[in-house]
Amino acid sequence: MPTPLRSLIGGALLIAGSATAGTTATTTLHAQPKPDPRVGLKAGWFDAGEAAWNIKLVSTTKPSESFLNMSTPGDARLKNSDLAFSGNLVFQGNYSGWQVWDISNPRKLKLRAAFVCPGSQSDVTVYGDLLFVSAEAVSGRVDCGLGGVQNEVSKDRARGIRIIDISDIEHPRTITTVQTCRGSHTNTLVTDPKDPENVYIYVSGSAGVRSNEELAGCSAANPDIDPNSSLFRIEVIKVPVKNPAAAAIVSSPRIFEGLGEAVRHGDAAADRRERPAGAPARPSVAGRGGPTQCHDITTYPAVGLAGGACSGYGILLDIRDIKNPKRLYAAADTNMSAWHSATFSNDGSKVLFSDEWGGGSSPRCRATDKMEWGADAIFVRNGDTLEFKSYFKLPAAQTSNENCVAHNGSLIPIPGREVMVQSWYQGGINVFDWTDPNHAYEIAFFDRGPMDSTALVSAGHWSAYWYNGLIYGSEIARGLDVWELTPSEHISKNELDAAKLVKYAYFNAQEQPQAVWPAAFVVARAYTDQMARNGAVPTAWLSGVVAQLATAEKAKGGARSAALNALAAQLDTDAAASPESARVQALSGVVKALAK
Amino acid sequence: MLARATFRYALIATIPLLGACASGSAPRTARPLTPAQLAAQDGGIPPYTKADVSFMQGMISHHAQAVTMSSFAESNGASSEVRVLAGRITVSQTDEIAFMKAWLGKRKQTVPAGDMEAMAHAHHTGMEMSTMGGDASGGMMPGMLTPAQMDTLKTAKGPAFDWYFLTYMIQHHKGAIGMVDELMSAQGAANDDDVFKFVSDVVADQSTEIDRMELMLKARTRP
Repeated sequence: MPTPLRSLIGGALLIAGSATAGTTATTTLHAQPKPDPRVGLKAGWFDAGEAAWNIKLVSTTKPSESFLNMSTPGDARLKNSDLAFSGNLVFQGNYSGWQVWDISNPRKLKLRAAFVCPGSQSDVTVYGDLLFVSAEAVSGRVDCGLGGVQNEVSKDRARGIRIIDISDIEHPRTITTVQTCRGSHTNTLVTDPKDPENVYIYVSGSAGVRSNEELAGCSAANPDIDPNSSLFRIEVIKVPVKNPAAAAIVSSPRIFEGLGEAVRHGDAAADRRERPAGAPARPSVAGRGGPTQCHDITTYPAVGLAGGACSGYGILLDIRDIKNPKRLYAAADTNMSAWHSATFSNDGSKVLFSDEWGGGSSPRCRATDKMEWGADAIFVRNGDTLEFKSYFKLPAAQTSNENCVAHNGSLIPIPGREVMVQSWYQGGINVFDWTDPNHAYEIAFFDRGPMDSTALVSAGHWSAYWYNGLIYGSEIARGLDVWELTPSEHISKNELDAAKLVKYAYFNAQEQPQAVWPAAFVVARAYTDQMARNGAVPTAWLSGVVAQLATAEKAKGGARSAALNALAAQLDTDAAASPESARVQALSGVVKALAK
Repeated sequence: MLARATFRYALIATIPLLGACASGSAPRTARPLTPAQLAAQDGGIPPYTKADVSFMQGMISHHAQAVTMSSFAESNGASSEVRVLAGRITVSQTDEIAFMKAWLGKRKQTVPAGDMEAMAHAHHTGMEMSTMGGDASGGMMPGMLTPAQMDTLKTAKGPAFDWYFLTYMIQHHKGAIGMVDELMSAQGAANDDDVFKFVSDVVADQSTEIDRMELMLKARTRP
């Protein structure tokens, strides 16, 4: 089985650190359209009103026939969930299975397979010829049948990770199901360049623990009662790439050890589950306090870290030893409820955690909902600790008929900035800049009106990710959207073109890749555009740099190298005293690479 | 396409699908139902159980009491962190009450009062309370405060209110989690994805809040 290459780009690669200019003019007014066109959009399923700003809808593809029933809007069984990308394919989870779309022509997606296999929430992760699908619900069946599972204890029940062979994309085949005690709400791929024979899956399970009669070893008791408790841990599955049928749990790290100390000690005997001696544990949802599980984990192998969104905590993990992740730090925040997922800045110096307050079913973006609740929280990493900086939330109030809260997103690889796209369920998607961790601001959005103007019918964007130049959004009820960002005062064409140079062979948002840019003039111009926008460097100086770059680009061979080397030398000299020191240095790095 | 996958569920689909037998004499070679076709047949209402219904009915009363408890925070001089917590509980559980009422209403089940407004607009669908197997009228569910506890909370002020609020809300939340445990041990319960997601969210939210409240309580002394 071929091992996918993370980046397809060869040649001189540059890892642009976050050229966070501490001096970025924070007084800049980030103008937004007024009145906000997202307010008052017409309700509808496939005919809802739409508002877009600095972004263009390229196509919308309805769910495949197997997963669309026009007479039952909001049917929980037919919800689309998360996305994973590989080559020209997008895998889209659905509560009743998953679909795979060919995106070779983003204006007209082509269905390649609709695989029926209920179990929710079908979080998908792709690697080579393997697809990993999360099964969490008690109704999921090993045989992928539609009938649910009626018995409390049943060998038919599938809760865990389904591993699918996708080598023949139109005829996918289930290889095995790795069963786990709490099923899998989400799963995260972890790869180790030193261990190409295997890949690893971190399983986050937030639902109830099943009976030990159904799966031996499962225990819903607290660790102080049962040291082998299925709570307070994550599962690590090792998948031999050449023999995925042998995939199995290799460790169950207790990454919460020492957190919630008060909870365990305060848990009086009288509060413990009462059941006759010897009776099997019921499928329990635990909940004796404390972070018993993670909702999602984002690994960032490039810096050896992971961000765990775990109950009431945002957790920083050292994952250099994949099987034994170590907790470095746990952040708690009164305004954060259900820590949902994490996104690192490209250099790993900042972490953005989202709070899926209410689990995504509730309208948490009403004018009455606080901007700190159900939002993102931005932290700066100081070594092994996290320091809170600010909150960011969708700035447009939604109606009470629109489920809305912070949900999945990914970085847009614009060098020198932290720009990301994020989904907000029926709040739509938006693109925002969080380069300055104290002042995140919105720069583009797309939104539809509610499904129904009289009732909350669950829908909206589950996730929105940048993949090789375009943004893809999984819409729970409406299918799959594709957008293209358009240049604006907030993002220049050069910045967008530089972002489009970053190509991934595959992309799973929860295994964050580090963006690397090839040596290109457009990358250099992205930096000069940013300096022009920030307005901190002298205009005459910047004009000179831009002119020298243009001259060098026109020149050929040795003359070009000479011009570039001269420019780089000047930049290196000027960087120290520049109000945009980091960005000038990053620019110098590109210029030097171009000179080679 | 997908011969394997579809064949697999063809085998079982004929047996456990309640009321999904479109034409009883369909030949074995007939294409099996897709999830969309199944939804069309059952009108978007997947099979549910009496335990699911009783749970929703009981939880409405349970949530309504949490909202009432939280409503005292402002007037009784709670600390700012307790006010934030109470504010979040109010919003969360009010939304969840709306969800549970919609779920019951869609299935034409009795929607219990839960609060004064609901009392005035209660649905009456002909389903007798006695058939519910639970107390659908708003009686004492696990963890709910006794009238004496409610009186204590209502009259406590300042730091004493904080202490009682945290203590009683922990008790209340643990009761809710116990209700979910109870539901999940019932035959066929939570096969409806809406129910499964709802109870998973209730537990995720409330266990997180219990953790937070335990830590807040630890920093306070009993009045």
